[in-house]
Amino acid sequence: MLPIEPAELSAFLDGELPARRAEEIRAALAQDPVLRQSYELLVARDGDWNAQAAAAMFRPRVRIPRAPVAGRFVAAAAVMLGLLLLRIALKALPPLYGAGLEAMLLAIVVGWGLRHIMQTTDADRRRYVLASDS
Amino acid sequence: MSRKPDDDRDDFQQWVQPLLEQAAGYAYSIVGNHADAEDAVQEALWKAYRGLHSYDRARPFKGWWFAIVRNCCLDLCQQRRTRPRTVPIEHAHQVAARAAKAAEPFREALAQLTPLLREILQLRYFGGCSYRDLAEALAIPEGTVMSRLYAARQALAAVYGKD
Repeated sequence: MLPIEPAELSAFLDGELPARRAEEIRAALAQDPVLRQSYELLVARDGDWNAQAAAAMFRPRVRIPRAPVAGRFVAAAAVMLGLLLLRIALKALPPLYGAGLEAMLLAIVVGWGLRHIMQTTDADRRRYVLASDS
Repeated sequence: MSRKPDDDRDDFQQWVQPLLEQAAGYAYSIVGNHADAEDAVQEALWKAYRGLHSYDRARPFKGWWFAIVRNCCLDLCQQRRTRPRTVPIEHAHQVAARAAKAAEPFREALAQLTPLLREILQLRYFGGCSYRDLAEALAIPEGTVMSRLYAARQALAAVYGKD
């Protein structure tokens, strides 16, 4: 077994050593009282510092950002404008042919628009969170 | 299939939410009061959100996030040196301030260390960062994290030993 570096003992305490090396150190600690004493000192200090640092933690009153809403409204407005232009363009076609096509295209566009708006609403509900409320 | 930036935006809240309290404690350890710590975390949230396109999912999010919090805290400290707060708003955080008094001796001991050793201990103890997170946040190899953290602990123990 390689000699144990002090920095390794510190990493062992943090649970950051590879399993095999950690096992070697565990075995050494069981056999070597001096090493064990050093380790116990590290553990005690670490526990003390962790407790003091934990006292400083607090729930901040912050807002987690979300996708801009304005962009969603612009997209909805673009859909409506597209719909209007489509209607104007279809007016130029013969009445019978144009009416069927218009109804079909209107259904597709309206369906797509509604789906987009519903999805947006759900996504925004998930995104918009005041951290202090959760 | 590569993920779109929008996918990251959807996940952002889930990633960052569990780290907010640690981020606030970490920010407090740098700026020294709750109002500024909150400002720094809020600024970090905006910066992280806007910069999500630069985040590589193969790397630890926590380390990336804490690097941003750290930069925001340092920017805020710089601003406060030139434009100090004129309105005392710490009363809004009285409960947190009372709890944080327990951390003051620790902050004072850390203040006596060099910036290099102090920042790794702040990230470890206040931020709860793993070695991988520390490596990401400080842009150093994990091997360096191990040795620097050990040196920092020794230095901190020496500070307490002097008292």
